[in-house]
Amino acid sequence: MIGDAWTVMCKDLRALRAFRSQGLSGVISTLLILILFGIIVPWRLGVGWAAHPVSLLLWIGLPWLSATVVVADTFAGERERHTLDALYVTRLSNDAILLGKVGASALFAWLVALLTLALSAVTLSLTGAAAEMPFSSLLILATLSMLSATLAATLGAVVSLRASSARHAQQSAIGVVLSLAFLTFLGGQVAAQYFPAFWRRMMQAGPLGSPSSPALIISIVGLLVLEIVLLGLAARCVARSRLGSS
Amino acid sequence: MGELAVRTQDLSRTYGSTIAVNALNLAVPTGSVFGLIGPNGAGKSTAIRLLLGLLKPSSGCASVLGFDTMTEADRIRERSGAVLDFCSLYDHLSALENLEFYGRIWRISATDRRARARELLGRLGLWERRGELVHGWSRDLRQRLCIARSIFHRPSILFLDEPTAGLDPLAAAAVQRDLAEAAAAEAMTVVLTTTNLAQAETLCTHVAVMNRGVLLAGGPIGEICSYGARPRLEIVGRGFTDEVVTLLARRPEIAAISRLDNGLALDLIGNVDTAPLVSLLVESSADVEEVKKNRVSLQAAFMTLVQQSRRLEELS
Repeated sequence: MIGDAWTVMCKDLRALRAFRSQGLSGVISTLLILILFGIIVPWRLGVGWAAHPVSLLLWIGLPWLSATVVVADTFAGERERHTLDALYVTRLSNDAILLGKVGASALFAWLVALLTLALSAVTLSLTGAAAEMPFSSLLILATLSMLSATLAATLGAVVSLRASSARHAQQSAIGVVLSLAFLTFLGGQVAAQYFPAFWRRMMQAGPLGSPSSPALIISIVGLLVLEIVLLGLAARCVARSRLGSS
Repeated sequence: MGELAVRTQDLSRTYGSTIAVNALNLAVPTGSVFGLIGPNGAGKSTAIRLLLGLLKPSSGCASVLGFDTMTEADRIRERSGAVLDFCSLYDHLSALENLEFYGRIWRISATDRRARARELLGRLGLWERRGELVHGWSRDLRQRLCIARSIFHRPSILFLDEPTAGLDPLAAAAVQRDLAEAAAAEAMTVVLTTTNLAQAETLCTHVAVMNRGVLLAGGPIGEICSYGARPRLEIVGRGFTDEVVTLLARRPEIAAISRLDNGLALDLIGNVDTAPLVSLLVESSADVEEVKKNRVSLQAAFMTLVQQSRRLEELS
């Protein structure tokens, strides 16, 4: 199944690259992200950028933004173009199709985040602030981005599978992401008041303290659990019987 | 009847209160080109989806290549190719890349993929355009590529849903020719749906006529054609004596003889060879001026079957 998922993923990445290279808006939006978060923000905030809680949200949020835009097209868009029908009549299993499509969107979103992260590191080193930036922090950010990208891609796939069109899927995915961000931000602030003092101290220290920081481990485990639950949900939504029935 | 590639037993599928396929009993011989024909909404596409295991039957069962469509759909899809009612290709990939992708899905080695792509694209007249993105291709070129894609892995059975729908007559004829060549070259069973009766008559060895989810008739095409008006031989001339008519009446090819003002009308049992009948008349000293043969057609049989079914529906 992994080989089949890899085949689907390579095709999706190839189609994505071709599609984005043809559409000027896709290139511009990617460039804007790179310039804004890879050059301007780290240049203005200095080394504090990486450990700042708002920046941390960015490294988790950025892959969400990229993945949700891309993943919406994977199922709903292919269904619209009837290329999903052609996949469903092959020997590929539902799981291989799902994993391939989620993998392609997640990889794309993660690559954008990694590129931004690398550009930020270059900007910091040019401004002389890189020496204060531990390598472990970059590694942690890269790991969190990857998990975040995978989670966003899976959630996007669930939305895309249930949407009637690519546009509908994209709108729904963005709506879900904004709602989740809003709920997490507000809910987190409200809930934090009731946490024990130890938990609050741990959260304030953030996940970047060290690779073994409890906040980091909780974040990674939390993201992984959510990922597995969402993948299970998405697997239930992939149904060959959703093809036309004329 | 030889080995069967497809067999259905009382196969039914409903959508709410609508019965799309109603107790369908099909027997598709291995190696045949089997046409499911019927008007729009007859249940042909649903039948194809049921056979591919893409839809679960509401009742009844079906087997394809000996595998149950409910429990062994994966094994059916491993051995079959299909082009459903839309010709779907990846627009941002070239013709060759589209085939390459499907070759990888079927786990064909790189060397075999290249050789097979060259063989099929060459046969379908697309080799020179292999590097082009299929985005701007005309409908018939896309349909040809879809057919190439569906037989790339040498399936034992090919399902085609309206393979020439929406094509102009020239393009439809070209796709039809390609299909006939592919079916012969690949020695596979083909199950296709069509509303184009002329196409079915040319392409199919067997047909099943469906209307409103119900199978009206199925079998070898010659047999189905006999449901329509019998083929008739009209002979214009003189000297058709009672002895001549008696001689003709003994011939097994003739079902009925009637006299016309200027000759005879012979109702034949099927699309038989009529040259011996004409020879018999000439040898019997009848003066034959003109011979007109009206062939039986699938069109006539189809019309008869559908009208009968509608009359029965009205009565009930």
